[in-house]
Amino acid sequence: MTILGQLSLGLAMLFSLWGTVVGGMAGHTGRADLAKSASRSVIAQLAVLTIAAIALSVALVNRDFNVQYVYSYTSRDLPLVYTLAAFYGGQAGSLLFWAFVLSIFAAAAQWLTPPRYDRLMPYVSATTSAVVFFFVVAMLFSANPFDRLAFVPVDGNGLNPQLQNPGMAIHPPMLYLGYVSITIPFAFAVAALLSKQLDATWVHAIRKWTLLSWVFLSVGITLGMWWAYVELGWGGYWAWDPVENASFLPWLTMTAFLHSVMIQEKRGMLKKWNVVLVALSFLLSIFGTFITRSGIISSVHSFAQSNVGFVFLAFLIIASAFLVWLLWSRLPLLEPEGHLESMVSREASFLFNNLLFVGMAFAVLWGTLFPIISELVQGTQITVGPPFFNRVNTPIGLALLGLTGIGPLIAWRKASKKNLQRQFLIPTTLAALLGIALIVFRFGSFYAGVTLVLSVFVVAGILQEFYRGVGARHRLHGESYVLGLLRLFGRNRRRYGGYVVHLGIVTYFIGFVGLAFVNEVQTTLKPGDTATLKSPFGYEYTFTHMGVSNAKILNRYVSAASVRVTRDGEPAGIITSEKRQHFKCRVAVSPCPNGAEEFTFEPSTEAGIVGDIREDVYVVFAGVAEGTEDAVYRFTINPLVWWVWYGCVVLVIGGVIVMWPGGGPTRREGRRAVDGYGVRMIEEKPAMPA
Amino acid sequence: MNFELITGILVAGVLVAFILEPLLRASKGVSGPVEDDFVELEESDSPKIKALLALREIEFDLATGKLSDEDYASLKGKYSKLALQAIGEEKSEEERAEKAGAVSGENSACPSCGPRPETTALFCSDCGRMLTVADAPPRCWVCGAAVSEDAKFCGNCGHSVELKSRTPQPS
Repeated sequence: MTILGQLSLGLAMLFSLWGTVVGGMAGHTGRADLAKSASRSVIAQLAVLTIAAIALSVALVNRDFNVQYVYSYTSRDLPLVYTLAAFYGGQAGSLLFWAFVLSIFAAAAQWLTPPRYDRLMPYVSATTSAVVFFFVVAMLFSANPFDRLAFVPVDGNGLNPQLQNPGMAIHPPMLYLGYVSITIPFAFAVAALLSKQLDATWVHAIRKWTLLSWVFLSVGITLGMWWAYVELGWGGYWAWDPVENASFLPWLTMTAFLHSVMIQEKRGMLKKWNVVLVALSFLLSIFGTFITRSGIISSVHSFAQSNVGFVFLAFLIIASAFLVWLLWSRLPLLEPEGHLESMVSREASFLFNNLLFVGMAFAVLWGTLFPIISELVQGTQITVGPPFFNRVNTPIGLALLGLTGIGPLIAWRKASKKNLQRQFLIPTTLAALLGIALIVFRFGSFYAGVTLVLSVFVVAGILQEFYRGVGARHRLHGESYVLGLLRLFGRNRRRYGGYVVHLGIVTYFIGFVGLAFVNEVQTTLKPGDTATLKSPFGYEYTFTHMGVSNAKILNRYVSAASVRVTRDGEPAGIITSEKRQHFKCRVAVSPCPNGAEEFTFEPSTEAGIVGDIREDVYVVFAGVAEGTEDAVYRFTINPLVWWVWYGCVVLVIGGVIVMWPGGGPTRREGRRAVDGYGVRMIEEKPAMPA
Repeated sequence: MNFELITGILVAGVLVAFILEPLLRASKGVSGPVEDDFVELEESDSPKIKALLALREIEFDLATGKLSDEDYASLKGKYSKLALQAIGEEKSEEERAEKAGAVSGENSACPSCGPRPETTALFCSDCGRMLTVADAPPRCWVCGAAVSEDAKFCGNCGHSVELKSRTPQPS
């Protein structure tokens, strides 16, 4: 199938080039036939990239080791699920995955965009085609997944052991979906700039795309956290690793955009800012792929390193230069239509949140790039560690959490002192009460305390919003409270779904509070020896070492150490942690030249984790004393980790509510309501303006 | 290998024809804006709808206690003024169009359904096509979505949009 794959890539290059050129011409001349041809080329790109993706999958599943990519990233004893995951485990495959996913989104944008945006579509075709073109060229000339070796190896190199984890099977595609789908809002922004149609049209067209990207990014990042937590074995889920940062950066700018775009829709303001945010998000998504793929900053994630990084760098520079020119030439058309009516309004709170998000993005970007900058300037790479990121981002994150609570309590347009008092009374009182209680009971961490106080403030504010919203519907429409709540969501999914997303964010923050109370001990235990550890919730855990067992399982040699755990003297189960050595070559499958078995010498850790909503007991088996069953353990109590995972679930539910089609009144109902309102107003006959 | 090559060439041929077909077949007309009448309210560019939505929001903010009576009064005054202005402009626009139609009699024929009995009609009462705009697209008579000139079925609801099916059948 690799010949078909090669042919498909060649065709994808031609079709994407056609789409770029003809789409641009169609946008410029307004010719319908060119526009249709460009749109069809986008669908043709999907067709050929699907064939290429199938061709690579078939080569992987058939273990065609003559294909260099298959040889490099799979082996005979690699389980099927990871063999398929190897599709995006290496350089060339992940580029194909990027291009393939982009072609799906690009074709979906062509199909699903209503005809009222037809003016923008030729340029949208051109932009998505240009990005596909770049990825296909990168593949064909720098990292081709269908390249063949001059010989047929007996077995492959196998997949990086750390990638052989269920979390890793779904984390990269989810993150890629987020990265890639940003291209669609970006394409509409470019289309709006090129066509000079810079009213709110393009913003309306991308509303759901933006949210979809954001949800995918959020889920992808959280799955990455989960993978790091269960697989890397260092006990945490976020280490400000360059690749983690690279995924976080577009998330920050997209979150800022999700808020600021509402100001453009409602007030015709922040037009330049919104275009810049979408363009930045796209460039940062490419930057994220560049960081992962170039290995420019040493990172546990930089599994694949090659010269493709330079291709990315060139694309980033060209795309940035093009965008700067485009923006500069359209600046006069991006003047605001209105102005802020009051600095105490929801608009103003969104402005602050945007500044904070972008400030945070800048801090993260600076910290991520600092090793490169220092190497360029001083010749030595100075790594910026978690303390820098935590020191800078914790206060900004808390300010943002505070704004999450403040924004929903202030009305659009303006607010008066009296009303602010009424709105803020209950949330502030509850938060203050908690604050006092934390001080009285000498809560251990300042930042954790502030996080909890702000979380209570936000949740109280949101619940108050729901309570008052339901009350208003009950009074205005005579609806029951249950129906009122349902209609509250149904009629304004964006606002109330958004509040659910905010609840998800608060849930994450509560999870982060646990980081201040991590308790751990490292010790060597003989069989029967015990170690004890106190948890922040006051429990005392006792770990009794039971022994170490060794076995060959699937494609690896496993050393498993088990401990019997008691909590306050009550049995709490047995926890097993594993150290895995994956076979490089194995007698039964593909013997090494000397006929022996060899390992990859890349040991991976499977942490043993047992927990509940309060805390996780996290056991890492670090090694065994040679020739004995004496095991080196690290026992960690990680409080509130589940809240991070639950936060993601709540966030997705909120995102789905916002995206659910048909939010607001139905067209007919809405029309009738608006017409009725209009008629009533005319009957009222207020003085017409002179 | 041969099979793969032949499949590849076939796929290439089909897709190239698919891409080039619009250039070879269709007229090279300029694509105009599609007047889609069925826009989500919040996506409407109409100043009237924008102002009315703002008023609706202000009413709800008052009901939930977010706006004080004074702020409500000042905002309501401002947006009512905008709404009335927009309604007034829209009305005079309609009157102008009506007059123009009545004088020229241009609205008396629908490109799809032929002569209309109502010379001042803004829309065709059979197919819903806008008569005041020369190149307005035909519409599905069931869901109102814009359809192409030669469409047999509506791309939105799937209903047949052929001329004969638009004619009401005797019950």
